[in-house]
Amino acid sequence: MIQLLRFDLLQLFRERLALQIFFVGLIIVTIAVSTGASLRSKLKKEHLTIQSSAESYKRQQKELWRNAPQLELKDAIILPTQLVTTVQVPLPVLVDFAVGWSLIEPSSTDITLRTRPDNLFTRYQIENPERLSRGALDLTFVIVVVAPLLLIVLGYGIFCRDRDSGVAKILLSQAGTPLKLITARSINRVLIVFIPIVSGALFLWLSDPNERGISVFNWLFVSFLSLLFWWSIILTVNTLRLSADTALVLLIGIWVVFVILAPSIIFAANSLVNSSESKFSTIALARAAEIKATRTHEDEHPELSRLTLEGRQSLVQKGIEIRSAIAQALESVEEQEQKRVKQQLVFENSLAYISPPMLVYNHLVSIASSDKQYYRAQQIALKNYAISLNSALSKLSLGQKVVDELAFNTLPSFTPSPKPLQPLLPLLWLVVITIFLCSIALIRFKNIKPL
Amino acid sequence: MTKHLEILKVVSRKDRLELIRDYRMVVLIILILMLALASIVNSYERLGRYSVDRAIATQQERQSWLSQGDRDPHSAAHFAQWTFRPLVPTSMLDPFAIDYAGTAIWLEAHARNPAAVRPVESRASSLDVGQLSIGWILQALGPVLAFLLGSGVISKEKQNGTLRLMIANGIVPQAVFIAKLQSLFFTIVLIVSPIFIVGLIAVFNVPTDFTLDSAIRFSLWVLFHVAWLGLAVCLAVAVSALTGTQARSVMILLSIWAIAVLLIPRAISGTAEVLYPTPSGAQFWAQVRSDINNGINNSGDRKQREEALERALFAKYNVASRDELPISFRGAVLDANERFGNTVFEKHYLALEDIYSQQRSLMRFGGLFTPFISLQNISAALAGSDNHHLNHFNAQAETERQRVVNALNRDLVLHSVGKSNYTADENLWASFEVFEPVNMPVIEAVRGIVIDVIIMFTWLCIVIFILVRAKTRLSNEFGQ
Repeated sequence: MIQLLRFDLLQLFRERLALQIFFVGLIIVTIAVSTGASLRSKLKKEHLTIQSSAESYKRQQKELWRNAPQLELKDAIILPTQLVTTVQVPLPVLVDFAVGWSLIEPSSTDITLRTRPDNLFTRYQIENPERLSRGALDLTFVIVVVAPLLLIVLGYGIFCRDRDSGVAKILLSQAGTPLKLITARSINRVLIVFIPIVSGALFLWLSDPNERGISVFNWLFVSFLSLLFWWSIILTVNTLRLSADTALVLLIGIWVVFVILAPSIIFAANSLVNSSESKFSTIALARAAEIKATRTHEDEHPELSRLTLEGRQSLVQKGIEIRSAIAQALESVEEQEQKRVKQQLVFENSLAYISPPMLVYNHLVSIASSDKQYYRAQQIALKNYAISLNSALSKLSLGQKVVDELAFNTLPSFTPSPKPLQPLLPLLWLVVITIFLCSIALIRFKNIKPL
Repeated sequence: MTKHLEILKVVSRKDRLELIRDYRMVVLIILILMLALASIVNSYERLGRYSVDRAIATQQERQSWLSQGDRDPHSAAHFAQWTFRPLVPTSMLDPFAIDYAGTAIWLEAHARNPAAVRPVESRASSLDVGQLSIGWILQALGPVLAFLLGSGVISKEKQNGTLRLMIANGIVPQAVFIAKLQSLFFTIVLIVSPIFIVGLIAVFNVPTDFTLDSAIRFSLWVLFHVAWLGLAVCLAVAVSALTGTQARSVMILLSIWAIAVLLIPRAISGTAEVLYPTPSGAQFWAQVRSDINNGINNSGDRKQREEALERALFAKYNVASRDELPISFRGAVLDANERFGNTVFEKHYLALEDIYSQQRSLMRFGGLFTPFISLQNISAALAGSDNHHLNHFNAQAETERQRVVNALNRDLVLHSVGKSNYTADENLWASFEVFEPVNMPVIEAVRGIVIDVIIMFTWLCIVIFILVRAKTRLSNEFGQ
């Protein structure tokens, strides 16, 4: 077997195609790795900058709150109304492997007493839309889109070409079955595509190894499984009585359908079936609630000077009432939105079973924690945190609690949502269809009769 | 000439026959046409719904603004108004950046908010290989179709020996070459014509007004896409003539496609972010806040600015205390702070736009490696879905925000003197008419893509040059 492997490798490199594919793979992986590494370093740097300025601001505020008991109450209650709390969600563990939603979804925000949970992120969408619309070239894109193409170019004629040229007849009459040769060829070809990817993944991991080992291993395992899936398709097509040309066109067709068409159609169908409520009407609803609550408050309370304790507390109370009225008005809309997002995810995940590359992609971004579910979970956690923080700050500014250092220290702190669990069923499905296709191919190869 | 036409007819008939007999191609063509139809229905439905939602929201917003009751004008400036981005009818042809750009802006006092409500937020998947639109079908799948149909036009004839037979029968290779080229081009145009027709019908029927501007946009859009398909056809025929087997030409063409359509645009986009990084939202707002609180380049904090204003007003009106001023001091401070804030926002938004424009220039530079990027820029500009159109909307919204907030502050300055609880009423709110942003005229959109058009034209010339070389080589190969 080892001799066969060596012989096949020698022949492959003599044809120069394998060498070309290897270098093309290496170049693409290098671009993907450099994109991923620079993105990770940028996000990490931003994360640290925000964290350090938030901490320094916190120290200043703590000092002010420590001295608050010496202030007049009307001045002390201003402190909670002016407190700005910066929170950010943890950086996705493998953001350099899979960019996913990390550039689209805001990952940090400032919370004050005036912050409305439904408006937490509206100010933070400043990424360049044109750049986002062109997508990103990361290692996950290489695995899902590029690697199958490279495998197809290396494998479309793995047996068909022998059949076309007549070599297959000699081979079968001498060896009886082409299984050993096909196995040797398969190992060499899959490795030619996988080695640059592993090298890239290892480089990224070693450049920042902190607690990422298991995730990197999982990522590589699913990637390898994806390559095996494609190779099983290539083998199956090679067992059909097709010319190498037709096998190539067929494989390219399968690739176009699985990788390009299916995701686009599933996405379009999803947005059509699970279309969201107009965000504009949500805005209108919130505005109507705001007006109503403002007028109600103004009708019931006399206008007081903002320089008095009562005036300041009345203003805080007004804010609480308005925010509560808006939250109430949007409650059903928010619920529907949550439900719709869930339905969308269920719809997409169910249909992804017919497009294994999409399945692989979803799984890889999920391992990387840069998927929609991760950001969704973090945003819900942030909203809940904003509600609890506002409630605590309201109590302080309404004079229900004393504004001092202890109060500052006991303000709620943000706990990020735990990482959502990755479903195993899609992975099992991928394993099953890969084994199924491989078995079919092997049986068909075994049964090829020497003429 | 007659002989040439005769050859063309025969070759076209033969190619058509082969095409109809090749079930793979027939399936592919049907699939692409069905996909185009589905995409246009999807885009039409989305744009229609958007236009209706926008009209309703604008009306409700007006209602909210007018019915806010008697209140302090500054309080009204905080309540403010929302404005919603109008879309050009042709945007359904190629949504490009629309999904990633905000569609509504809150025109609030003290804050120049970026456009919010991005359609991409309602999406579940991030595997973005392309949005289903006819623009994407023509730009990404059109070349695949041309390459698959064209890969064998000459190489297969060479492989099967039929080309040698044709030449032995007195046909010159050049005539076969030209006939194949024309035949393939007409076949592709014939296949994509229904897509253009359905697109035209859809663009004509969207709920927004179809104007001369839209007609020009649509015509130019079609013209550039036909040129794009022509480029793909020329390349397919050239590669087919230069290679010995169909498999090899398929492989070369699809490699070119994958590199040009899938890899380079993404690689360039990543490089643009590395070289010209966009600040995060948090960083951006922290810098804005710092400048507002401490002054631009620490030129003085809010208190110092207020004191300077007080001194200036006292000197202007020759008074010694705030109570003696003939205008409202509070109003004047709010007005001054607002104007200072506008300077800060202008500084930071200009810096941000500068980053965008550097990124765009770099991505445009990518057009030197693939005409796909230039075509995307041209298509998005004509469809009204690029950054220029978004910036046009943002700029109008900002002008309106400043106009309304300044007017409200002016009212406070003039009418609240000596009245601590001054309120304005519906008359003031109604004095601001409904703000209706207008779309960028096509001529301005075209002005922004001149370089892309030049790059695409250069590519067309390069491919024609390759085609001519291939024709010469084919003639030499067969000793003609």
